[in-house]
Amino acid sequence: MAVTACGGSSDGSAVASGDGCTLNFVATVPLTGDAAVWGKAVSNGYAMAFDEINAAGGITAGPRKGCKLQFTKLDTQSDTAKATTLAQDIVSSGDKYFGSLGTIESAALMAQMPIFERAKMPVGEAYAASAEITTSGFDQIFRMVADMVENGRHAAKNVVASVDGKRIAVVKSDGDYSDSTFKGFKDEAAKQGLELVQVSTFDSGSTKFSAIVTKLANLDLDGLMVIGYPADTGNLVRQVRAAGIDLPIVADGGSSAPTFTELARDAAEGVFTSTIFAVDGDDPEVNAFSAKFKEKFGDAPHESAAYAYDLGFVIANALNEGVDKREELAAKVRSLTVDGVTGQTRFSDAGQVIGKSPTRVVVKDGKFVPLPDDAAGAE
Amino acid sequence: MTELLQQLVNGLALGGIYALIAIGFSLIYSIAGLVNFAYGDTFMFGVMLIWWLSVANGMPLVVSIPLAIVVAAAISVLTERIADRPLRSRSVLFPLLATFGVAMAIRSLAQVAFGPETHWFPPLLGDGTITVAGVRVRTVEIVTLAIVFGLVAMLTLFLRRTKQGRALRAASIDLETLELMGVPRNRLLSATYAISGALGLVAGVLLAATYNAVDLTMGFDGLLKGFIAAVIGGLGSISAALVGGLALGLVEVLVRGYVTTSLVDVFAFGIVIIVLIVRPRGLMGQPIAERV
Repeated sequence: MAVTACGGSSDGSAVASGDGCTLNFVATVPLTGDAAVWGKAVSNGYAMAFDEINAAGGITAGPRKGCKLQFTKLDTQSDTAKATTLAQDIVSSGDKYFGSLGTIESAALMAQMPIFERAKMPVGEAYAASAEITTSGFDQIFRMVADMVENGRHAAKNVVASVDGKRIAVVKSDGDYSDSTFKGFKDEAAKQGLELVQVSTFDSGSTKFSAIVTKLANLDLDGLMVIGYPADTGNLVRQVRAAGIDLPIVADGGSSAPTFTELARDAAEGVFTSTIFAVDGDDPEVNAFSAKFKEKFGDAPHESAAYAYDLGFVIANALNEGVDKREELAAKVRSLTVDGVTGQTRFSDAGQVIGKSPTRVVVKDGKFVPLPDDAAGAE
Repeated sequence: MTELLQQLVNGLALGGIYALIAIGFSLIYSIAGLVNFAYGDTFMFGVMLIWWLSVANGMPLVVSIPLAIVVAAAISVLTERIADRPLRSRSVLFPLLATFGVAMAIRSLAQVAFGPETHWFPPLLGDGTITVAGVRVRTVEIVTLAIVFGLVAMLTLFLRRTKQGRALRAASIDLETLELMGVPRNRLLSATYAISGALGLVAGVLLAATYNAVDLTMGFDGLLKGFIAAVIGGLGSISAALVGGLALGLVEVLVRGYVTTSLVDVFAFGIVIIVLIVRPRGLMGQPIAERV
């Protein structure tokens, strides 16, 4: 008979494995479809964290001492309905899983949360950024990334620091991400005295920006703010520069991704944005993580992978601090302070990460290079 | 006024690409009597292939583009062989659904082969701007319009001056009678699908080169716009597809520039409905004898 070394498993989520035990987590992430890039990134972040935790002996204290961590990937196909079905399947499997690793897409996560709440299934979210996720009163959520409204506020501060003048045009995609980011941007822009000369919205996923770009070319502007997913903003910036517009451009924090520079190419040079995780900076801990990640997966880590990596250690810390049952996990996590590659992580009572300020970066030679000041992160 | 003129050039360039897509779409419709739902994803696959060969792996574009044209034509011919030919005698719905299945298969294959991401596409038709009488336009738009009108002229000459072209025109009028006269029906249909696939690929390359991007959705979006352009102009004629495409491009750009991008498709389909009510055969509706 196999014996678990983790002090029993009344909820069944510790599975006997040789002479140890394993705590199973489940990641419902988009591995195909529009959001697959981020799904793959966060999956790699979880895998790397769990591998390192297990290599160091797994859970080192508390009632789950000696347990190893593993996770199963389930593909949401970038589809909210599919993510909801998966959540129901997970809950129906009883105590098979100790916790869920969130889906990175806000709409999908919001659809899943009531299902997980009823089952008292803790949900650690790495990258979904809708404000609603942590303002809807969910007990089981803990999230690593700042919400979109906050992202927008930082973007406005970045404009003030990067643009010599107040007359700004905003070009944003449609959808929850950009709408929420713009809400924060607009609030902060008013406080900072910025004049929004023009606000244009495009349908996310479109590449046809000629009409919007022509309008921009005929306006008297000091700078341009672009808000959207990096595939959108990368294409947009490329076409803005191709039209001969040489205004300073600021992109919201979501654009600090390789996709942005891959699509914008030379046009990305000089674009300002911000990130929690300056992969091209000189932080030795970040650089060490990046090197390990690149060696393991072949690509440089995106910010979302870094959040996922830190999330793995946040969960391990909570287990080391005495969590025995899954319904205890979220409450314990919310009381922790954990250092990681995205800086120090601590949470509000609602499970929202707090106190993280992004670094202002500029694209130089295709890299996101940190700037000496930190206006984007000024509180 | 300057801005409006710039927008009109934007609209004409985009409309020219839609016209090419519409011509390839109309060719199959007028001869085979079929809406080929795989048409858009066929050219998407070809453009993705160019990206993979040339951007990801360094093959010269002068090699990858002709290769992709051949591949798109071959996929189009294969679509006829597996989704149209075996089913056309049963019901018009069967080949319609079968081409839809082929479209889904092509898109899934492209996702596996090239990834789900949007990819950068090189500005192979120019990357600067020129100013004419105070109106600044991108050179790629001028080159695109020149290519579109050049191709339309060549295709018109082919259809009017060559034996094969006349056979295609005759097939659009009465394929059965043509077959009774000894013209091999299947070979004619294969040729039609091949030309359609190749035209679609050229249109796809123009789209990708104009907007410097290729993604999995460009095929379906292109199919939709080509269909709308063909209906607006009048199904089955080159000049009608050209007029329909240019009209759609102008409407789309003006709505994007002066109304909102969210309503582009509402306007496009609204025009289709109005045209179908007022002029059911399209703006340039032609007598059947003059069709492709």
